[in-house]
Order: sequence, then structure tokens, then C-alpha cells
Amino acid sequence: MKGRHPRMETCPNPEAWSEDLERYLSEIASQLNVDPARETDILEEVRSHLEEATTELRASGLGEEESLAAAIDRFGASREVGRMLNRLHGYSLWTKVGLAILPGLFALGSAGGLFSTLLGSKTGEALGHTGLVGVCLLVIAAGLARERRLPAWSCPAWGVLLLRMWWGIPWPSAELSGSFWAVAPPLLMLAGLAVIAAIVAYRACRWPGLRSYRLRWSLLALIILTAVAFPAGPVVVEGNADRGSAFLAMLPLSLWWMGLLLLPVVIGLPLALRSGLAAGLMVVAAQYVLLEEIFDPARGILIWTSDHAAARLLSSLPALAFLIVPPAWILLSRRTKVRFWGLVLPPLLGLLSLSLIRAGVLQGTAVEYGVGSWLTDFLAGAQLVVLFALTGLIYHRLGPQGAVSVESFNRRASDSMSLGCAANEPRA
Amino acid sequence: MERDLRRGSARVLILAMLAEKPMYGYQIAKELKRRSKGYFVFKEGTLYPALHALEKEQLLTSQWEVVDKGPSRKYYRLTQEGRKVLAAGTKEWATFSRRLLRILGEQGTEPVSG
Repeated sequence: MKGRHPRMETCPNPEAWSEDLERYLSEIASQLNVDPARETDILEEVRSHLEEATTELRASGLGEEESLAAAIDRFGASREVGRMLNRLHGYSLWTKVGLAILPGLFALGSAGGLFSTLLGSKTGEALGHTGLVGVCLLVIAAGLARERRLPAWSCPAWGVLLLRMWWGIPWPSAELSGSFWAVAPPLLMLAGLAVIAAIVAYRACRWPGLRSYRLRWSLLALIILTAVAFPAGPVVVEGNADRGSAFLAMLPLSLWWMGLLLLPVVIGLPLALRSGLAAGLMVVAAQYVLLEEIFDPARGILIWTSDHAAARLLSSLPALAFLIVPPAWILLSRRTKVRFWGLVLPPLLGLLSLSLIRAGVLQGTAVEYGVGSWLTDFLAGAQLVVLFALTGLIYHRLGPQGAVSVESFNRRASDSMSLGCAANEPRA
Repeated sequence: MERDLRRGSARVLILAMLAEKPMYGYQIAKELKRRSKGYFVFKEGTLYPALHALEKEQLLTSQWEVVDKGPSRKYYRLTQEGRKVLAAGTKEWATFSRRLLRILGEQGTEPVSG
């Protein structure tokens, strides 16, 4: 390709472009995962084609809207054209999968003791803690540098980074009697994030996928229910005399925790319009950080047992279930339903396995893994599971990739790189 | 089978169109339809991946050109390499159709005209 399209210099009245044409072009764009210059070039070429076809059809006596509709019909399904072009110009699918699971592979190496074995325990552990952020930054930088926007394959890296940074902010019960400079910055940051979340949530509610009041209220009820159930469970099991006070004391922490879980969902919403279910990977990756930081699956195991293999297994599971299997599953799947399960099932199985392994390892040790432990784990896990399901549901309804079907993929595969025959072609 | 044949001929058809003069996508689609009297009709959007693939193989080059009236156009030109591939492709198709017709003729079947 020599030279850039001269669109901006030649178009006398950009406002006059048809809304339908813009929608069609944006549908093609939604399938492209290429650098911005290439995308502009492709879209301008398609626009030029459709504008000329429309002009000719108008000259033949058709109305403006009919002409455009006929030109678009002759051009073909936008998403199929977009995917064909993307397959030609974009990263190969396996490169995308590789980049998407890179943070997960690093986390797996770290949890599995690879770095400690290679570099010694001190350096290895230090690399394990800080290196993941570095890997995520590299993946994000690669995405931004090449495409100047957020590609779907960088979502897991964003998710990890998002909550790693978030952990630096003190939670709201910080001493308010401290000095102004100790209290104000975290509160201002929280207020800023709350405003951003409110704006994004407002925009999300206006999108067609979430216009249903029933769905909105059901989602809200589900979130509140799991947030309230988390402190209620342990209070009931522990048999505290003043259950009300104990419950109220734990409630802010639970709500804060729920807010933390919701944050990546809210931030991922604008992405969902472009990347569909792939944007849910950000949430799954963010929840990996929460799992590592709060649940720390291997924590406590080595106190009660010297079974290092069990601890290694437990430590490796989250990376596998949250950062490796879901990205590969979603990016390689062609059907929305399969993608949805790719987002929900591996973390769910990961959480379940963690609890079962922990219970099994602790069985017969000094620690009693009783009803209280199960209940606490169950409720904490339920909050995460609700979020996976919520993410899958919302992103599925909002995302353009929700329309992907096996049929359209197969058709695309057979049409790619060849002249497809139109439905009205003459038959011999 | 006829569909497959038409698909297989896409590359050489595009190269043949561009051997005469540089053309832009819409023009190629129109010319192909006109010259084949409607035989080579296809979803026009599928033309661009084919053009871009040929460009990637360096059989074509492209250049945006500003037009006084109407939208700017991206013209495709055949390269030297493209001409060689076209020549080889034309020869291949000629051999293929000649041998096919000979066999059909031997069997006493009337060749089907397009």
C-alpha cells in the first residue's frame, strides 16, 4: 500500500454521511484487530466502494435509502467481510492466544517454583511478585503500540494490573483522625473511581442489551444478596451472642469487597461493545489477583502439613483456572455459548478444586475443616461465581461477538480468499 | 463444481483485469460482471480480501487517488511479478480447459458453453 487515503481532504460534508453506512462500517471495524492506519485504509476503501455504488443506484432511479441498502446487500455481511480482512491483516490467532496467556504462564512459573529453582529462592520470589506486573505492562504496551487501543488479547493483562494497582489504595475504614494528607488522597481517589463507575454504569444502562428493567433489578438483587450473605454466614456459624452487631461490623468490609469485585466489570463494560465476551477476561484476571491476595490458596497449608507438592498444586491452580484456560478457550471458540462457558466454567472448577484439595489436605491435621470453613469458602466463592456469571451475561448481551455463529464462521472460511458466488448468480 | 471452478479462477481473473490498466475495487467488480455477462457475480466485499492478499504477495501495488467529484479511489496496479503469475495462470487455465474439453469431446459430450 502506497500513500494514505485522502478522506479528510476530500470529503466536503462528513455530517451528511448516512447513519446506516457508518453503522455498517463500524460493524466491519468491530471485527478488525489491526493497526489504526490499516483499519482507516480498509474502512475508507469500503466507504468509497459503497458511496460509488449508492450514487450509481440512485442515478438508476432508486431512492437514497434503497440505494444504500442495495449496495450493502451486494457488498455482503459486514462481519464476514471484517473477519476475512482481519484474518489477512491481523495477528494470527495463536499469537493472540499466546499474548493473552503470557501473564498466566508467568504466574504459573512463579507459583510452581520455577523462578526459585532457576534463580534461587530470594531472587525467584522477588521476581514472582514484581515480574507479573512487568509482564502485564509489556503485553499492554505491545497492544497499545501496535493497535493504539485496547486489543481483546491484552484484557487479562489489564485485569491483573488493575487490581494490583488497586491494592495500593487503603480501604475505607482507614483512620479518619489521621492527618489530612494521609486521609484525603485515598478518599479522593475513591470518589474519582466512584464517579467514573457511575458514568459508565449510566451509559451501560442505556445500551440496548441492558434496557430490560427486570434484568437490571435481578442483577442488582443478586449482587446485594451475595454481599449480605458473606458476613451473615460466619456470624450464624460462630454462634456469636450479639449477632446483629457482629453482622453490622462485617457488612462494610463485605460491601467494599463486592465493590472491588464489581470494579473490573464496570471498567470492562465499554470494552464489551467491541470485544464482547473477551472483555470478560479482564474481570477473570482481576479476580485472580483477588484470589491470590485474599484467599492465597496455599496459605496455611504448610503450617499444618509438610506436603510441598500439595501447596505447589494449590498455588498453580488459580493461574491455570483464571489466566490460562479462559483466555485460550474464549479466543479459540467460535460460538457464543461455548465462549460463555469458557469464561465461567474454568474459574468455577478452579475454586471448587481449591476448596476440595484444601479440605483433603487438612483432613486429619490439627485444623478442623468443619462446617464454618466450608461455609466461609462457599460464600466467598459464591461472590466470585456470581461475578463470573454476571460478566458473562452482560458482555454476551452487549458484545458484538455475541452474534458469532458456527455457520457464519464456516461460510467465512470457505469464502475467504476467493470470489464467493452471490445468491442470485446465474445457474448453468 | 462450477462454483469451485469460479472460485479457483478468482486470482487469475483479478490479475487479468489489472493487466490492462490500473483499476479500483468497484471498477473491477463492475468490469468482471460486464465482461462475463453476469457469470462472475459475487458478493463485492469478498473482492477486497482477495485484492489485499494479492498485494501482500507483491503481485499488486495500490495507491489512493483523489477524484474531483465523488469519493477517493484506491487504484491497484499489477507488478512485474504479478504479470509473471498471470502468464503462468493463463497458461495453466488454457491447458486445463483444453484437456478437459478434449476428454469431453472424446466421450462424445457436447462442450457446455458459458
